[in-house]
Amino acid sequence: MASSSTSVVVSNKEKENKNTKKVTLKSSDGESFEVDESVAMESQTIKHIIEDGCANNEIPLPNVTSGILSRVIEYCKKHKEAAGESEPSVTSYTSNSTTNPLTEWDTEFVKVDQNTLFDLILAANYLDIKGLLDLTCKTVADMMKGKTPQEIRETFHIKNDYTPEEEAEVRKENQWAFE
Amino acid sequence: MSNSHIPPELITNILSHLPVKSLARFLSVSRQWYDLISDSGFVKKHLNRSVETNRDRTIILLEHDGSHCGNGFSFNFDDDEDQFCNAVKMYPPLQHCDILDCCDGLVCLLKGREEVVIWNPLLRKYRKLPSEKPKGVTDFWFPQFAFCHDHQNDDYKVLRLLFHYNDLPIEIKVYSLKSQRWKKVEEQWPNKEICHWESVSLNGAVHWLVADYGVLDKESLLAFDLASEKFKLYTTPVSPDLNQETRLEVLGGHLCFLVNVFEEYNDVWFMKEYGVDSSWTRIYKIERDAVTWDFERFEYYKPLMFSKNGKKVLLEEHWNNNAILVDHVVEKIHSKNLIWYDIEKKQGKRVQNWSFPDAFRTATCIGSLLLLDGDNVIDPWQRNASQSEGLNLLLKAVDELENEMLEG
Repeated sequence: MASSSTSVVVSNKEKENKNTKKVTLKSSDGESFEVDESVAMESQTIKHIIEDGCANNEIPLPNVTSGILSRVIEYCKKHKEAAGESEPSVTSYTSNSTTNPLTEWDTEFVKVDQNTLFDLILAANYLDIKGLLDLTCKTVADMMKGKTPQEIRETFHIKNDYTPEEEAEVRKENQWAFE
Repeated sequence: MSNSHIPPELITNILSHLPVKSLARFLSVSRQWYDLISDSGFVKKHLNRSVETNRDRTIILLEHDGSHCGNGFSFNFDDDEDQFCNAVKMYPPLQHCDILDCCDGLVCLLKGREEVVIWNPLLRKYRKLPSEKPKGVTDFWFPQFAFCHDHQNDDYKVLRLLFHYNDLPIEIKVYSLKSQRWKKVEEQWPNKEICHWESVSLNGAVHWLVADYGVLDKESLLAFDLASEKFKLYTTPVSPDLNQETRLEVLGGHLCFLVNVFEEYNDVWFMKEYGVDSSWTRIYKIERDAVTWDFERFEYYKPLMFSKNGKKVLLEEHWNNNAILVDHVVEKIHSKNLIWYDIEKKQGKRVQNWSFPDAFRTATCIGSLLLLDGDNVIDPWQRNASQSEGLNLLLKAVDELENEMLEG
């Protein structure tokens, strides 16, 4: 399954070509990034574009800046590599015993400022990369855990559309959650 | 550098990663967020994520005085399984009740013959079922209840079997949390006798160990499907000998068959593929020397759940305290210890925690927003505070009246 450039065993030309086939992704600010097609296909959006034959080897991504795109590519590369190496762990009777070998790497990856994090969420959503979307959303969620409603409003620029009485009522109903 | 605006569908993705307590707090953020969080689609998504990741995994221990449950604690073990930490005081919405069953973060409580409550302990909400008094029977009737998730209709249901004396159930009714009503079941109970009152719920069906009348060592498994409202019979892996007791449990999402030989061993089987009789597999056997057995009171080890890596099982010590109640034997069961049993090493380790009550009953929960529209569970101190507030107002009014009378 995992491809290796030193593998010589069965020379299947088509297979080899696929392994080293590249695509170019173009960010909103005009920067081009050349990546392995297999890495780019971590994004379901890009995968569909390629499969539909609309690639022309350069895919414009008007919703993603170069700064964000380079990070996304880094994520996809790392996760593609890891997928090639690891084996699914033997599960006994529980459904939850598959471990993520990249947990530490992922944790470091999301140590970025809030704006970058939000941009990564939007990019992961637009590019349809489930793992990255879950990772970034969970990171934001973890950040939110200890906050008050007012702090949440500030973080997400939310207008408080409750009347003071309504807000007091809702708060009172769930008073225990504030302790 | 932008102050990116996150659209609502991504907000719900983020929110689905949050524990129940945070979400209860964020209901106050805005009306829009209130609607997002209480939306039934979101509640389902959040629950699915809880189940996948075992989030907000909590064990509730309610202290048991030999006949009923009182208050207790909840213990979280998301972080460290060996430690039962974050003891939070728990006040069930019903006092002097018993825990019937639990599912998807909901716990079903039972009091006496008629009071049934569905409770979400992590969210502190509950719903009391409407009373459904049986008609056409004498005073001498008793019910058996079961609590189950109907997968097909995504509904949580309470089943009631009505017994008149010790015969076959004469009536079967089902309460649906969605419709909030009781409904009669047309299907008749098959000609089988129940071996144990305690049923287990799994895969949208309620299960009992049953046998032909007078032939108690030829057991089978009776299942009642809540969607189709039909009965079905399955086989059990082994037939018990005279000195063996059998029990049904649920473990890791599978039906579990337990053979208990008093003071000797607990042999535990799994139905690996639900509904497939040939898929019964022995998964572990607790032998005499694995744990200290308390022969005075010990009955069997009830399996509660697997550890995250699936190598250990959390067991609850069970002893049987028979009580005679109006001509039939009602099994009252309460527990004393929790034990982590290592399946490979065949060794058990008692959980030491000073917060644990001496005797208790357990329920296991995961993070769920079900019953967000239910009634609030009021902590006793809050209840007392509002009662004394009422009393103060009354005294004040009496005072004023007295003064008026004196002046007049």
